[in-house]
Amino acid sequence: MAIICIAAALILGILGLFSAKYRPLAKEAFSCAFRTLTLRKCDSNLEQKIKANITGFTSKISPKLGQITFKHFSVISTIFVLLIFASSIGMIWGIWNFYQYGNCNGPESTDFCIFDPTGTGEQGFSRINAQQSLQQPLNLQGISYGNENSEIIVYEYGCYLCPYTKKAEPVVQQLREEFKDQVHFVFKSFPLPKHNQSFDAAKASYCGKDQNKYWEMRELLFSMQDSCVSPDVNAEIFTQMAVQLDLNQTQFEICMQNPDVNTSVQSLYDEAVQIGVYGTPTFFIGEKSFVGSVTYDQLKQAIEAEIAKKQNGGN
Amino acid sequence: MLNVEKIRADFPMFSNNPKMIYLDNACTTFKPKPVLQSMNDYYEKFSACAGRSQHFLGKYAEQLFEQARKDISDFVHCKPEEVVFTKNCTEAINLVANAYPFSSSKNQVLTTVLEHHSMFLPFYQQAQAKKIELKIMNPSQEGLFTQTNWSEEISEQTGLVAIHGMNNTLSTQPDSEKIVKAAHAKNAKVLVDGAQLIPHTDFNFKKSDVDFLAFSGHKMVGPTGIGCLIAKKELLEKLNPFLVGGETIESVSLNQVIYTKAPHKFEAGIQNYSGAIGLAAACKYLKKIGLKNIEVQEQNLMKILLSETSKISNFKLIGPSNAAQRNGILTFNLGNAHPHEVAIMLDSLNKVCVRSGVFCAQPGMTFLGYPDGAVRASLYLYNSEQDIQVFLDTLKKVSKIVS
Repeated sequence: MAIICIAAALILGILGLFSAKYRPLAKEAFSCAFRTLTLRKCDSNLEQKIKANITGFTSKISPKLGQITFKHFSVISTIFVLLIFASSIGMIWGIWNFYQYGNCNGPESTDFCIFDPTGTGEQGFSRINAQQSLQQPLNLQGISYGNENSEIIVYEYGCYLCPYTKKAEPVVQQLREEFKDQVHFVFKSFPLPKHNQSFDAAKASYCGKDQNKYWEMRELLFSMQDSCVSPDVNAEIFTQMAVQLDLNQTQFEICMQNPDVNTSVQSLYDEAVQIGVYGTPTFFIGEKSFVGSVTYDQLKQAIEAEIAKKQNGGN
Repeated sequence: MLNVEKIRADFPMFSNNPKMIYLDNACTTFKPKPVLQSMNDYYEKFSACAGRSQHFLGKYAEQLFEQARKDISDFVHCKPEEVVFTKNCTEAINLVANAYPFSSSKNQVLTTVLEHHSMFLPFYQQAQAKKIELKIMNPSQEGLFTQTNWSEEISEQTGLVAIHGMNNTLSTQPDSEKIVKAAHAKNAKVLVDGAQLIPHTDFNFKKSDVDFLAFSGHKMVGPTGIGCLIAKKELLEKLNPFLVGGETIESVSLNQVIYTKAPHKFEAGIQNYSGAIGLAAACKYLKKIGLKNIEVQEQNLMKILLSETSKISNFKLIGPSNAAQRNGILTFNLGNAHPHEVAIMLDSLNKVCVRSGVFCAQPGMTFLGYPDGAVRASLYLYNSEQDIQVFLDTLKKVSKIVS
């Protein structure tokens, strides 16, 4: 029955961090838990106190429930402790995921995450490398749009098959619309190897552009993301997309086989790795960088700061 | 019969905790308004040092402090100069254990296994230091000394018999008259732990011929932090100083210290004046109600308790089942439930306050066969039949839960 002390030590230990009221009890519980773990009898009667308090509580609800609680307290407390251990493991796993992927639910998840201050699960990113310091982009190679003469450049490193890049897309489109006259946007595809077909997806976007349907292809790639990453799918899916977009199928297929396209996509990938990009999407605005699907306000604020800086003639 | 409702109106604890059933009186008791008022008066009206300062406040404080000594002496039927103020019963016993001049031929202290730690440990410590020899008597399995032949047990070597007046676990009372006679026949002295005895019985120190009597204020509706050692005047003078300091001396030079007379010889430093005044007020309060009346009331309630609890299947009474052999303490266990579990559930279900554990009497509880302790419900003057009924109803519920 002393196993309940272990649960008490965990719970009271956490409560004790926030309130001094629980610290003496936590100390008692820790002592009891330590004795239990070292196979000695708990000498503080803490387990009896916990048992009696819980039984007293359940007895008020129903005497029968009180009787059951008292009689089967060992079983109940063991289940309770196992649940606490399971949830503790889950919490540690969540913290690890949050550190690794920016989302507590694991790679590629966009589900709700309690550690995410926005509560949306949108702060995650698709990790490829260990986190490191980022350097500025080396060149303007990539898909350019907006005001190509502007000195204010917003770089986006994204993967068409990354759920976080997809999540960020509405924000990107909104910014594109709002700052098309003031900002030069450069999208650099960074096809993450862990996403099946991501390299071909990047090539497909180039081949769409080749027939003046880049944005349509980009939109289609994002919308068909789930189908593209399926392990059963091959490059045939991109030809089907080309057909869907009324592209010249032969021209598209030639483009997809073109070694120059291959080289372009590869060189973008190499550049991203060289400057230390470790997840998608990654944005560079002036000296600032943002990893993960940051909010519209954050990016807008950074763009406006850059515009203000240029207008004031500063760096 | 006591008018319990009227008595309860004197105790603010009841109006502040209306639904509580307090049955932990062997541990400590509530304080009536006259006690609280008298203590407050000291701090609000004449807060000064007694026995030292010559100004009017100091004189007034001294007058009230000595009047408190007189009131307490009246209560236990002794001379005022036989009353030594201590901080509690424990300190009073420690005073005797450390200050009593044991001779090498009479250095045995006879005590019992049922003593409270406050009685057992001071003498145990002396025995460990080889200053005395400790002889420990066992009662019957019920906790009674009715079969003990004290004249045989007390030997020529016995210097002191240290025994409870009323047991704090069972509320049984050893026959102090027999013990005193047997001890005095062998020129031994008797120290009675009166912590439970004085609050519940009309004890007459002079008539009892007991040599030393120790008790606490807080167990008899008085304040905490005050107790008394009552000792025969001639014995007090023979005791060595225990705690020394201001007020204990006639004169001090670098070469010589002349101690003052008892009782002040044992009252070192500034005293707990408000505590002493509060204790005197408690004595007056109890005297007004009548110790006999309190005793009868407790006996009546105990009869109900013993009768009703005997119907609970898993109720295990500790100590005698005859109400005449115990006072106001009911000690028990419920089946195999841990005493703390029972006590916490009583509190949790109906705010019934009882004590659980070994009651600072571990050797005694082990001897009686309850090393893990028991539950103790203890009565006092403000407990009513209604309290007892609620306690019994709740106890029956707990009994079912743990069965």
